[in-house]
Amino acid sequence: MSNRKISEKYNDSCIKIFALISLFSKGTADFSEVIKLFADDDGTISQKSNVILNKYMNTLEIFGIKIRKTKNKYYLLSMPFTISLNEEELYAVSLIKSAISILPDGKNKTNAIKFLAELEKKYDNDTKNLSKVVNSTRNFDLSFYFQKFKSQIKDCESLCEAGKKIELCYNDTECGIQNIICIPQEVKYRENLVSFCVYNTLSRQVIDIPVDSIRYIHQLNIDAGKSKICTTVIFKLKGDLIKRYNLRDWERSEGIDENGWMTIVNSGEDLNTLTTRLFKYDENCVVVSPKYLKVRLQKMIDKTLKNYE
Amino acid sequence: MKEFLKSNTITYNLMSFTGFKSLILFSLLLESPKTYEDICEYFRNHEYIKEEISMDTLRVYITSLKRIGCEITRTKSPRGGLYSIVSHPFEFRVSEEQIKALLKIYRIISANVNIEDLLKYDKFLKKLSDNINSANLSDAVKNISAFKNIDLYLLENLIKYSKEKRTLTLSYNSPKNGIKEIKVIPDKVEITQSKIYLYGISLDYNQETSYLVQRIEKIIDVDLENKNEVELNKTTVGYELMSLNPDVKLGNNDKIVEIKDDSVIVETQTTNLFMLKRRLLGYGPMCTVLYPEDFRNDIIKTLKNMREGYKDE
Repeated sequence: MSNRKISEKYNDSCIKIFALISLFSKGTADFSEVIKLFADDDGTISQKSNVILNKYMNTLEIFGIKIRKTKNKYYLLSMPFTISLNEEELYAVSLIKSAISILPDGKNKTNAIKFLAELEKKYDNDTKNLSKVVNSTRNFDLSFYFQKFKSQIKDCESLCEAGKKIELCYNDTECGIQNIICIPQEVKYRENLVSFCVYNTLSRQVIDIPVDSIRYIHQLNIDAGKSKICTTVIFKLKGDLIKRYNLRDWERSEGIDENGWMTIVNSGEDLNTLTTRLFKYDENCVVVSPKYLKVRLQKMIDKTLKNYE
Repeated sequence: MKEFLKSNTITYNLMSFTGFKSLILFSLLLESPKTYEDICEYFRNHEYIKEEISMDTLRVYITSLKRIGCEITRTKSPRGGLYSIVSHPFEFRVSEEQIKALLKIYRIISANVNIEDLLKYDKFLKKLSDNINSANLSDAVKNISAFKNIDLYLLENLIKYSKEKRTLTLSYNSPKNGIKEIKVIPDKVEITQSKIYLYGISLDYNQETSYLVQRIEKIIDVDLENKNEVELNKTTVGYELMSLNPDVKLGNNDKIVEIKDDSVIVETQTTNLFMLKRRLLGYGPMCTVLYPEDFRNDIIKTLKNMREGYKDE
């Protein structure tokens, strides 16, 4: 604010009424905090302070701001500067509530709950009434995981927030017991599976590990750091697939060579997901690099062919 | 402060009249930009205020509102200077941490609900970011949205007609043949591997098929009578699946016909062997096609061709 603006004439009642709203807008306010706004010039709280406070409370009430006082604490029940949501939008809010119910305790859960509490405080009357009738029961079918692995999921979420490297031991369906040093990325909640997404610092791969296959995790006293350079997978496509293929956000095309193969560069996709995807493209897709992925694909083909011997 | 209001509806007789007027002015400017004349007219007609304010008083109020943290601009208009509130301290704000939580929830929802519900959540976040003027939330939603580059009006119609099973004539940008008209009885719209597809029966080929929604240009015609009854040539395919991991998803038409010690036998009916072949290949070594013979042989041939691509390994 410039000096000129500060020197302009202002109205103290206007400043006070908004200072009062500002205090209440946090949701709750202690009486001791509120009455200070109306203290005498020397800072003392007198009978006059209480009278003035009452006048300002009346003003807010007439304007439409509802506040309840219980045991020296004020509770804001409604704000005048409201948000109006329709039935569809309230349904979206109910989805948030359902998602919160499956989130383990942690920052995300706390922040999502805080967001909802603040949002609901801003509802206008119509939205409040509508929110009572909009179906808010929506269950995601993750009960199996939450009965058995609740604490494990919670641990994984905490590790994502800690910003440290971890040593993780898990059972891979193809390669057996694996022990890796990695950086936690996120916990992924799918229709019927919860997985721990980590970045393997040695192989530079992003891996989704089903939580039920984790044997143990040790947090290391090493900062995770911010840089994450993922292994680049290069594969080739041919035939109609070239026209049909839709590049993912994490892919780029290197064009078509003289033999009609289109080269795709992929970085950051979970290798299990990618392998399954590329396998579906049959002979119209060949992995070029890295070598271990080529070998993995070749082994998968051999193993599948064995089913038919 | 002055004594105020004695009526049947309002029982308070003491209030801060100036405070009240500043609240009214604040909410008035929040609605839309106003000229001095607009403000005077509103004050004059207000059931409790019933008087105009002078230009000097308005300036004092505006200065006071600026002091409490409002950003107020005055722009020229043919009707005079327009006052508007650009931002104020009581706006609904979403913190960076809350945005992170909302994005996490986006990922949970996108993996657990149908496309209609995801669309509702997506639209809700977009409306919220517009309403609260949050560039951070807006950018975050744009980045994560499953509906990037999708015509939402078209998508909603496709979802609607899929439920009603209306025969649609679509303008489709085919990867092979460019823009052409296709006839389809839509079944469902789904997100598969981050892309949105319309699944249904192609009346051009009389088989189940899928179309990338991004490639659908427009709906040319909707058959409201829904007269099309299609005779489809279905093939029954049997396959063995070695294990039923939680992440293994059977198709809608799949039926487990036999449960063995470490595998299950599944039977399915399809009109599109190409789509089924892809799905079964996706199961990798866990899956063995049992019948019919020609489909089984086709799979073996495909696997051998795939192996050719890695003959040096």
